[in-house]
Amino acid sequence: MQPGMSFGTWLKQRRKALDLTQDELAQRVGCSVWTIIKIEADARRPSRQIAERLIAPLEIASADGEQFIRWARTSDTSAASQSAPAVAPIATETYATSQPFIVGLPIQHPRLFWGRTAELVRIYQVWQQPPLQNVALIGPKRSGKTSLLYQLKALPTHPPAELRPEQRHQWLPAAERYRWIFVDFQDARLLRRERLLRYLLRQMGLDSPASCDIELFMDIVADQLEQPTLILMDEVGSAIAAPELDQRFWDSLRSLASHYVGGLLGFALAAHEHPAQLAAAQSNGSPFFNLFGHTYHVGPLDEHAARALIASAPLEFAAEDVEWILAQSGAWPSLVQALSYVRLMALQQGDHSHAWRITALQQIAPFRYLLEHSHGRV
Amino acid sequence: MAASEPLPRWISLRALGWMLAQPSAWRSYVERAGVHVDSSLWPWRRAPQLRRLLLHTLVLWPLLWSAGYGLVAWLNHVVSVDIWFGMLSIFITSAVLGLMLGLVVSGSVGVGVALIGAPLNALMFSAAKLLIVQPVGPQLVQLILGRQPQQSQTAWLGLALYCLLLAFMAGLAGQLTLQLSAAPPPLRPSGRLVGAISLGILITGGVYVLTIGIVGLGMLTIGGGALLSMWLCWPGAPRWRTPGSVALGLALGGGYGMLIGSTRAFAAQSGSVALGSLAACITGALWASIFFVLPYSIGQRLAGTRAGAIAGGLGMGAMCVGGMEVVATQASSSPWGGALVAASLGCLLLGALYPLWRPVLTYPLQAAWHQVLYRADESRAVATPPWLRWHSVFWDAQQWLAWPGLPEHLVLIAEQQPELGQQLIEQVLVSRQRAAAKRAQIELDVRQLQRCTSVAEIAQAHQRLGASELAGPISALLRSLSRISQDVASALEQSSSYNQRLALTALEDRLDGLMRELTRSDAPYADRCGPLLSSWRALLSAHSSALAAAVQAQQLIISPYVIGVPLTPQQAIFVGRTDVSASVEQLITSERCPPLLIYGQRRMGKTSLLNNLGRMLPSTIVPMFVDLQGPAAHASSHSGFFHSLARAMRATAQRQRGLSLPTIDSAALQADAFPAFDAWLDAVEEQLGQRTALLMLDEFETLEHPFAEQRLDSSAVLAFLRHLIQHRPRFKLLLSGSHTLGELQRWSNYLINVVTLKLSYLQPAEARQLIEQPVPEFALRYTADACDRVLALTRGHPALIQLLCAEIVALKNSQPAASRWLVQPAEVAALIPTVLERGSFFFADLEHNQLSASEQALLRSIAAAPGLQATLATLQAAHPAPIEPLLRRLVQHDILEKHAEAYRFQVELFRHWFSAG
Repeated sequence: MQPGMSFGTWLKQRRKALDLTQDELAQRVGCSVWTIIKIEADARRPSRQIAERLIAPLEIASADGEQFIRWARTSDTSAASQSAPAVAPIATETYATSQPFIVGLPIQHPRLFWGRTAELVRIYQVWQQPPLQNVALIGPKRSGKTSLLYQLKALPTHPPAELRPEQRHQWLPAAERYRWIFVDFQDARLLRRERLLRYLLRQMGLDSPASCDIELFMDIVADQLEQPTLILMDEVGSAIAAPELDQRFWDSLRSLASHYVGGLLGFALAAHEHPAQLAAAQSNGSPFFNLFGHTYHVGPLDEHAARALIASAPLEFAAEDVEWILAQSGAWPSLVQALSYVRLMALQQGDHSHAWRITALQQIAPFRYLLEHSHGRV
Repeated sequence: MAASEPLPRWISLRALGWMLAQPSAWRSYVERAGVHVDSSLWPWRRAPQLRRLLLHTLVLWPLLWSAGYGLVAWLNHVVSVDIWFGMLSIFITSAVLGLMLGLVVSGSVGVGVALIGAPLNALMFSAAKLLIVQPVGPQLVQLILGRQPQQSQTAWLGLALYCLLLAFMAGLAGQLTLQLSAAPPPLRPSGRLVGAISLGILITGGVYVLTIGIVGLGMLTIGGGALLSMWLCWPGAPRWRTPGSVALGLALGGGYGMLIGSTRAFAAQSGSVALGSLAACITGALWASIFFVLPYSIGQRLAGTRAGAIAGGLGMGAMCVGGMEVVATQASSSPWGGALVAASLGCLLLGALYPLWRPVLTYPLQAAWHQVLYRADESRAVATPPWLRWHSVFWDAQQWLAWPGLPEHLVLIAEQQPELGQQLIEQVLVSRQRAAAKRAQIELDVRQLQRCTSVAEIAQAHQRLGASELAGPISALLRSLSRISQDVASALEQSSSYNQRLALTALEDRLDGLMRELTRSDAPYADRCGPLLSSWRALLSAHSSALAAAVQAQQLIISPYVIGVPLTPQQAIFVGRTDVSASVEQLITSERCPPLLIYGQRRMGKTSLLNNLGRMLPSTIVPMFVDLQGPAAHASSHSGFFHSLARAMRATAQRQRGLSLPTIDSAALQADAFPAFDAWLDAVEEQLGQRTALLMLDEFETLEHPFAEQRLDSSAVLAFLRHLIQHRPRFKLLLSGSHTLGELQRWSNYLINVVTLKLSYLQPAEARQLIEQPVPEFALRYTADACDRVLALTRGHPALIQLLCAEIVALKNSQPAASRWLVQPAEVAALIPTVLERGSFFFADLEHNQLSASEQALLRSIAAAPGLQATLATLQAAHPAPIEPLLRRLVQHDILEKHAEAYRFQVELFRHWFSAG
């Protein structure tokens, strides 16, 4: 949000970013389209009730709700800069160039993501036109699957100015036409079928009725889906184990994607188990997973990418340290990040001894199992 | 408003216009002057503009109108004392009402009441004088009463008119309070609201009774009490509740009370009608104010502005009706008493409802005015500002009737000056005439789209469409066109001409679909949009052809392979299977066609074949495809099952043959599924005419689940299918699955004479085509050995060829241009591990979901055997359990084949999977 922007202008931008028409927003809020038009034209301020009902359709985080309501109710351009909640139209994570290494969390900002170019090229290639083909990312925990899923969503539309100079940015023609839906199945709420279906509908920008079963979901998507849409499913193992996401659910997804949407719906999944185990786990054997014709095992980075990642440190590492990090990490990105992080911290504190290596090894000790995984089939 | 902003000339006239037609403009004027619109008159003294407006309203305006009255009265030879007292009455009534309401309710309401009250007062006085003094008056009274009027009767007629005026003002004041306040919360009927209004009126009534009861002090206390109560009720100015202010209030009130008292006393003494009328007027003005502000203050404090406005209006209205009752009693000889009370009620309503009737009253005049504006704009020089800006839509916010010519006028201006036109449309969009703006926007959009003369223009058209956010069928069509325009833009962004053409062809199909929809539609816009769609389609098609003609050597090889999802007729990659489609056609067209079963391994391309059969069969055969892995098999009842079936059949018939089948009656289906579906089939048959329906049930064995779970009655469903085959010659049945009927006993019991067509590996020629020429202009070449190598690894299994060849394309794209275009055998062999990884879901499904543990073990032994095959004896030595049935099943399912007494894998890649695992 820009300081000085009025609530009406902000609302209009936000609504467009979410691909909602004024009529649709009015319907979801439960007010007349007039009200929305007037609010957007800054001709009136929303009542508290309407401000509250705007929160969900505008996808404002619940923690920001109160601040949002206050801002909506008191908005004028002078108040915007002071009390506007930090709900940017599209979440952009800030990154600190002084600390480019991220430990323990998936990488969200493309600038901090390294390697995997060959896989990205192949994956985006099968998403260039319908039918969108389905991609599975398999790898042990901490292998970087979730980061890769995030990048699949972020890279095509990320502003080139925020990428590294050498980083490729044109991955998909007309990337803004695509919709990307990230489904983290570690979020227990998304393991509830109805909740998940309504979440998907909302993210697709389609009608999301108050109560939604799988048939209605299929009808709505089959009738209304017009944009190429990719559903990125993280931790699919949890979803397969969820009682509400039964065979019927998966079968219906398969049927929907195969026959009813003209190839506009595709999936990418990430799982830490091999497909064989996934298949065995679902004793009912839904053919949904047969749709996944492109499986990639997420392994260590290639050496070039791993070195580039280490070299992104703002202070130069000694060649000996670089080699040590490469050897100890096996080029697994999470390990390279953790080791480089410790090295950088020590350097920033003026420590030029080897003492940091002990801390670094302690840091990666729980994840050394990665080093036992080969790149190929498990 | 900045202090330096010049004061509009005729500000009071403009303010009157705003009050009557555009309250929002009034609100913004006051707010810009730095005063809250709901504040009382007191802070107005700080803003020079408002101070001046106040002077106009409370002093000049009443003076002007009383002078007007004076002129009329003088021309009618009224005696001068009557003229002077009349003028004084008009002035005092308007000023007192305005001042009191302005101080207690809000400055806006005070100004409004004074502005409207002054001319009405003058009008009323003129009328009363004419009635009383001029011959026309007595004549009129004689006409009404049927006899010569007496002096007292003409006097009460004047009084009655005054009461009517006040009743009207009561309604108006209530309405103005609602119209002019900032944003009163919505009015919801509640106990609190009714209570607040009732309490306000009751207390006011009490005050009335009390003051009337204490006759002696009455006149003095009326004024003083009123002003004191005004100070105390005055919200937002507690500093005025000081002893000094109370004293001032008492002094002013006392002064006014004494004025009333003395006037009345003089009138009584002298018996002057004019003085009596002045006394009545100044008393009435004070009472009317009190009867408004007191209930208003109580209602407003308890339940908000709306409650206050209603309580005030009702309070003041009740006083006028009461006053009228007194007048009627005085004139008891007249038969008009009841009617006068009713008339005062009517005036109250009239005042309260002015936003409803005023627009109707002025509509014809405004409409004529708009015609003049339109003509003026038609002949206007473009550089001058449009006359449209004087249209009522921009100054009459209360007009609720639609303006018929407004859309055309907006379009006219937008065509002359697009940017200005767009601004005006956006302004109209937030007015009550939104529909006109919408129509104008749609018309502009359609014209915009009609102007596209090239594909590039189509690609940009979506950026200029404004109506796509609106609701309604035409907007839905415009939205679709906007999406098509965006898709054309993205198609043009595709790097390869092959992909561009693919995308453009899909868009041509979508335009075809829209045209079909439009042909069936009888909506008024169908005639406008039909030619537009066909012109777009022609442009796209011409561009596609141009691309095809200019095929360029591609830098990178684009992989046309589609893995994991069934192929639809839109994908050119579907090859071969002409033998199966020929057999299907021959069987279907035969006299007594048996049910058909297409049987083949998973991923052999059954669904792709069914999807493409429509294209391969003559158009007299209507394919109706049902994916039984979809909703049908998950239905919890027969009605759900048949509903899904009917829906899928309708969808394919529509998509593949453009045939609209009737919808199925859901209620009948719920009541009794089988007869209802049967009746629907009757209707479908009628629609089919001479055509034949091919009902294709894909993955038919999925129905075993609902059968086993008894959600569906297997015998009833299968008997129904048998009935369909036997008694509906227009329907042919085609099953598809990875089981033969022999494996599913209950199916074979019902479906006899089923002809099984096995869908196996592609013929070598077809397989070579898929490898070397999957799509026209495919740039990659294979050495003969490399192609043989692919064939040897896949045995012509279509999914595996695509899997392997997609990897080959990826590999070649990573090589330097010099070696990129030719595939060598060694490269194929080196890709085996990658293919196993990429397709691991497929192989794992085969291994874990289709084979038992002992079969897996057996296959691993054969995969590891020297010479790539194993004899029965060798296998028996390694596997103690009886293995012959397992081997038979593996052969039957096309995993193994027997070759010279030994067993070996049919597909080399399968062997690699089991040998690696």
